[in-house]
Amino acid sequence: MTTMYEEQYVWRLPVRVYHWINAAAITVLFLTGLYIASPLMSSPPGEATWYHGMAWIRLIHFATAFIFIANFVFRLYWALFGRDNYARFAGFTPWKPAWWGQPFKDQLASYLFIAKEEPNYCGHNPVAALTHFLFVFCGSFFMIFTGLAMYGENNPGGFIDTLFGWVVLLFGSSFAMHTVHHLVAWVFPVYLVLHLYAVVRHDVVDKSSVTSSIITGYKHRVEQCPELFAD
Amino acid sequence: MAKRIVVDPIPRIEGHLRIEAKLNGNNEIADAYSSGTMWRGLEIILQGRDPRDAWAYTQRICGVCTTVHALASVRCVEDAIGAHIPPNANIIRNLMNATQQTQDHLIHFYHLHALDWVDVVSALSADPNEASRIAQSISSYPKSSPGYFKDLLKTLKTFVESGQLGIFSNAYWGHKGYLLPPEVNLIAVAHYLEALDFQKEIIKIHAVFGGKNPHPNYLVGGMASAINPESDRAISIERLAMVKKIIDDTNDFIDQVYIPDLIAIAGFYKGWLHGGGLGNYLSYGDFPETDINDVDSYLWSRGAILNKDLGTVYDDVDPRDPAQITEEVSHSWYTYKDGDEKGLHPWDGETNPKYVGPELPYKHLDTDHKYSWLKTPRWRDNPVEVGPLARVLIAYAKGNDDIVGLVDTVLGKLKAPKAALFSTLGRTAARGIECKQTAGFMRRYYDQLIANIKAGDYDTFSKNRWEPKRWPKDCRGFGFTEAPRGALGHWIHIKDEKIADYQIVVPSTWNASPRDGKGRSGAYEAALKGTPMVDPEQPLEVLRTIHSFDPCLACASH
Amino acid sequence: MSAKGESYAEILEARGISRGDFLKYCSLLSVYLGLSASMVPRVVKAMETKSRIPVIWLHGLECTCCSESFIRSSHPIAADIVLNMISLDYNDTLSAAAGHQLEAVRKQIMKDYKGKYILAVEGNAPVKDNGVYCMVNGESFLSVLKETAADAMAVIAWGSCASFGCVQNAKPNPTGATPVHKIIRNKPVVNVPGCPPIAEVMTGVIAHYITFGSLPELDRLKRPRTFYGTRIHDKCERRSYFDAGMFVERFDDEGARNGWCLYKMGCKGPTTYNACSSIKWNEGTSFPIGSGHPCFGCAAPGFWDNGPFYTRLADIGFVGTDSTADKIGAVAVGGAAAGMAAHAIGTAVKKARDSKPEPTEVEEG
Ligand code: HEM
Ligand code: HEM
Ligand code: NFV
Ligand code: SF4
Ligand code: SF4
Ligand code: F3S
Ligand SMILES: [Mg+2]
Repeated sequence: MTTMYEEQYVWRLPVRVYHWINAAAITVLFLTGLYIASPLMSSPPGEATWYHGMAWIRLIHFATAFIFIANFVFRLYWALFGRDNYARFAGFTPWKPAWWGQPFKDQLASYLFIAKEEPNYCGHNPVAALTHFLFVFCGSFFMIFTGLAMYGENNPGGFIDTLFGWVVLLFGSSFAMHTVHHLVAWVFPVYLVLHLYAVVRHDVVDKSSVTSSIITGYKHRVEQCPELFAD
Repeated sequence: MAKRIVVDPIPRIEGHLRIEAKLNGNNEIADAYSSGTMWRGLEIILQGRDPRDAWAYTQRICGVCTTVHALASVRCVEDAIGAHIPPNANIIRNLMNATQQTQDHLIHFYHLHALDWVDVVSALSADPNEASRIAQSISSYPKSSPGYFKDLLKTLKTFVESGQLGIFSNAYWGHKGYLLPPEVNLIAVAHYLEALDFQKEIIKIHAVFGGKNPHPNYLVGGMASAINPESDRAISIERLAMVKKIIDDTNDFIDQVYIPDLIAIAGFYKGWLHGGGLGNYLSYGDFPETDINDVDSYLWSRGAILNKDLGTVYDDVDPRDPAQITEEVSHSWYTYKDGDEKGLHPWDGETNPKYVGPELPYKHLDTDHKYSWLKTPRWRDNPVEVGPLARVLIAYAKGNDDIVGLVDTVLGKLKAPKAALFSTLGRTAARGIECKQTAGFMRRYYDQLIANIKAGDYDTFSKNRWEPKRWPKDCRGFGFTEAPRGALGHWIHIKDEKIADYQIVVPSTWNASPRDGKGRSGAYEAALKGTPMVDPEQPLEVLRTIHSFDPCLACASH
Repeated sequence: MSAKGESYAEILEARGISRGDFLKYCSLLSVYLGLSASMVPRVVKAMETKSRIPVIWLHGLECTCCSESFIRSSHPIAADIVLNMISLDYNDTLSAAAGHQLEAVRKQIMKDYKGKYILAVEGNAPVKDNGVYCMVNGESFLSVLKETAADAMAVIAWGSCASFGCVQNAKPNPTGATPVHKIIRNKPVVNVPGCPPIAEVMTGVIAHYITFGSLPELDRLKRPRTFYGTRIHDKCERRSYFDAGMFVERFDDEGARNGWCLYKMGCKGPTTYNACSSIKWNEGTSFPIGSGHPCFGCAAPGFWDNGPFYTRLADIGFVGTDSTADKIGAVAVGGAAAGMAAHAIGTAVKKARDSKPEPTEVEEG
């Protein structure tokens, strides 16, 4: 057990900056992605060279994609080498049976209204960690690989195509890859719903000001918090 | 003792066909069995798909008659959902269909059929001067100088002397059945090559309107190729001028090459009058001038003839009538839920494959039981022949001026009686006659299209029924065309915007089918019966008669 | 060393056939070809010089449109290929001989040119039920294919059928139709997809071999890079309309009549590798998009199951028809929102209960 004091500095600046870049990038990628798939309207009649509507949307998608990738890579670096307790992946070991032990069960039980106690964590609770991992981490990975494979098709035999072209083979065809890239894109809005709800709910239930914490970095309230794993 | 010969594979057809025949003591074919040995299951694959896509799937049934399934399919879906197409779409479809018929018949005559009558090796001993003289006496085709034939002879000799005979390897050269003098053989070989080169020109019309050939594009509700004389990205005057030139060249080629060759070759074989067969003929009709439902406007009439009786044409052919069209599987590798003997109308049709033939590899099929991947279609319980001969006979019997004129001219030139039409040669001649007719149709539709565009009508597509939401929840449709090989029908059942059932009865299914429950043969089997064979080891006579139908087995079993 | 450089005489010699036997063979051959005795020396000469490479062209489950496309080629023209470039010794569509005579040709080539002939395959082999869905001369096509491939130098898989499976391999693939490269694993296979492939692409593959003496460079899907290196979309004449966002909204509208982009009509040009927009079809006459119809991806693996064709988004197969990525996604978001709302209510109820001072509450034992 550790004690959390009034003002606990949880989210350090790099994490907060990462978070908001990530949130913005995903929003832009999702919206431009949908637009790419179903362009709403045609440009008015005239010469094709007068307009660049679709080209712009695609450019924004691609440019944002590279920001998103860089940000993601930074977060990976920060998690692995960041010396930031709350941002490290150290405790996240779902391949070890022990990880699925009591803390995880308690948290799940509480979310499912089976247990009365609401555990309160300074960083991520284990269920949140798992959700982040599945949706944000795996989702991003998937979108980056499929996205780069598609992007590489613009220049067959080029650098990106050479590195990521093989991904197409996993899905059979370029079209199939578009379809899965598009399908998995929906993971993010689903996650957002879960995420926002969880954040707001925690604020309401344990009054820990989680919501503002991702801006200020500080969580509030004094409490005994169980440690997921002692290092 | 009856001798049994097997011809498998049969080349110069489409798909996989096997003929088994029993010979009597005089080496005459006493009985024949026609087996389709491939099946892909298109009728099953179509289930659950978007009806607007069906044309593309069914088109892949065959790349030789590459347009007809698409046409039957869009008509079928339009019939089901109640879509009407604009006049230009009807004209373009007719033009593409006429183009297909013309090109398909031409290829058939030279590349799929000619070698049954033409001895390539005999051509080597031709006198080029004499060949030139003959060629010039029968046609005004420019490529018929002595020098032209000399060059060809040289090419041919180099080829043969290479010892690598390629497609001509191990064939029946020198067979007693070949009756043409060397010079005529040489002319035919020349035109084999010329036609090979020319057929690809004719079909460019498909590329103009359908984007490509083989497998041009169709569209439910019309055609996708928009018309706009003001644009270079639509059917414009440049495109139309190209189409016009192709049509003119095609008519010239048919008149100057195909028809004279046909008459010249047939002249040497007019004694070989085997292969008449069933004597029952059926046509759904095609080439609607107005609307597909306006049967009276068809340039090719609908009708049926039984027992070679040209005096009676049955006008009341109705493929929607469950009593008229049925398919049974008594000798086919399928089963029906309620027993294999009773025929089913295609709207109630079933496709349940069940192979019960001999274990592979086999020497002979079990022809007493099931022996083919083709079903057995019947019209009012009659086995019928479909195709050019059927259509020409029906038109002739109905007194269609064009056809009566053409048929009488050909018969007159050959000094042959009308009865000669009921034969292998008659079938081959009918195809030539029809080819000339459809080349003429190409002109007609071109003129119609120009007239419409001139009048300001650019419409090629009707959007009214494009959205599935506007379709009946549950509907059935029938679509058809007269394909090069005969009557083709597609029957659809659409439920909740998806294909619930799709049944296809193809010209070659009619002609190449195995026996029915009553033991009655289809057209191929009937036509082979009674044919004498010079040498049972060399099945030239079988090839002649079978090729005269222009078999398409991928079509037939689908 | 390639067979191209070898004469028939050398091949026979390598197999231990003497000069005397060779001459005898030549005169027999001349008789068999119906040539006069005076021509024997010329046959001998021809047999001693370079031979054209033999090609056995098999047909499995297919529609013959690949053969049809082949004969539409304008440079080189098909006749030139067949007469001067290769020796097309076995081909269902064009061969003169039938039945056992035709099969004998196949066997002879396999023997005489062991390891030195090209096997071209149109269509594919059904593997279900012992291969009864395609039989040739009483054998399954599957076994004919394997037998003929065993001694081939290389295999050309014509069309989407042979390359990827095509229409008969679309769900539920009733016959177990299987593309060539999944059956023949120990030979170089060149995939030439397209339904059918463009004529000049087909003859181009052969011309490449004849001209340079080697197979063309292939990509990950074993396709010649020259023809399948880029997507239709990359060289499409309507691409500027795509970039501008000028789309055909329905067939025959103003956009269609002015040749705008067909993306919203379901065009698969952006995901299909083929030379349609560069080489075009029928001697450059047009290509599907050029004639107003969207590409439906006929050269792409599995394109038949990527329908429906006239929409940008495919039905997602494993969920069922009429369920696109967007429909599934929207339902998932809706589901998540509903779930969270329910959870919120649950939380509120629990909180309300927890805050009620009910000392006697017994929840479970
Ligand atoms: C959260 C991340 C992302 C989301 C939500 C997203 C969403 C989408 C969507 C919905 C599409 C349309 C797919 C279709 O139906 O064809 C798309 C296309 C595409 N995306 Fe992404 N994407 C993301 C990340 C990326 C990344 C990291 C890249 C890497 C470069 C990328 C590259 C592409 C490309 C190349 C296309 C195809 C564009 C075209 O066909 O014109 N995406 N994206
Ligand atoms: C696309 C949108 C978003 C994504 C993908 C996302 C993702 C994430 C991730 C991955 C974390 C964990 C931080 C880390 O360890 O790096 C996180 C934490 C957090 N996010 Fe977001 N976020 C999004 C939008 C938002 C929004 C709109 C808000 C608030 C209004 C928000 C509030 C928070 C808070 C308060 C935390 C810390 C709480 C906790 O971990 O329990 N997020 N978010
Ligand atoms: N039989 C047949 Fe076809 C034709 N003509 C189609 O309906 O050839 Ni492939
Ligand atoms: S690839 Fe297409 S066109 Fe070629 S044989 Fe197969 S179905 Fe026919
Ligand atoms: S028509 Fe098709 S291939 Fe051409 S630009 Fe538009 S989407 Fe691309
Ligand atoms: S449908 Fe096929 S023909 Fe070309 S334009 Fe598309 S790959
Ligand atoms: Mg059928």
